[in-house]
Amino acid sequence: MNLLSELTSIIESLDIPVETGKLSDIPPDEYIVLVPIHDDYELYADDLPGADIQSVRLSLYTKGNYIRQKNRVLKALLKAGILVIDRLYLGYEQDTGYHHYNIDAENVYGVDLGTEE
Amino acid sequence: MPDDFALRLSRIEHNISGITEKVVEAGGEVAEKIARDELDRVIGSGTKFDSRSTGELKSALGASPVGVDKKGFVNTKIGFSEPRRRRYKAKNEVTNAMIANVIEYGKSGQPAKPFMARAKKKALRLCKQAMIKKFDEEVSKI
Repeated sequence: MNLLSELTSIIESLDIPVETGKLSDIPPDEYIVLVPIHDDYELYADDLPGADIQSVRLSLYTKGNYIRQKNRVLKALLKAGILVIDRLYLGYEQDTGYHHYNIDAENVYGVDLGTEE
Repeated sequence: MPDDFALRLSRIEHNISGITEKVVEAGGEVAEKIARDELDRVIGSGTKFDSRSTGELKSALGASPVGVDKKGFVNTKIGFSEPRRRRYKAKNEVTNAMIANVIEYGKSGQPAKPFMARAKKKALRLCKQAMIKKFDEEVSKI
């Protein structure tokens, strides 16, 4: 399991288009772009890490009510046990008509050396 | 408590503000270097057209002088100096901080390249190490 796939399935369940890196299609009225921030190994023992910490930036763009949508996303993240480390409204883009809201999410996973995923 | 140890503690207490400034400065140097590396990595990467970067944003990056903040903590900040060079037409509209913000958080149609968030994560451990090293160095001089 990794954070990107977990976030993708959570956001898809909210019926918001989501892609990683950048949106390849013509952008709809609301969408989310996921960008990985940082991966880190922690809790070392016997020269092996015990925890895999992953953080991802969610950029929410919406032409509608951004407060309603960001609340939906945030609640879904918190319910799934994902840590929200930053929330920031970046403003209204005059040229495109999108509201831009940023959420930084983080989660800790175990390090499983048994599978290739 | 042995006398020489008590004397040393007293000397450290006497010099603590100087030591703290040097320690924070050492941490700031490490953080600045990491931020510069991260910025260098994202500027001009993954652009639709050839990058027209002039290197100005990178040269504007720096650490503020060490000072005491509102809460009383000795602190330094990593950020961008202003203004941008005069020869640009948009000199009054575009600031370095604005450009850095767009790179960091993206816009619709331009994905975020979170160089500062990455630098912050990377710097945490390395800054601590550099600061502990500098503290030991300064204390050993006393």
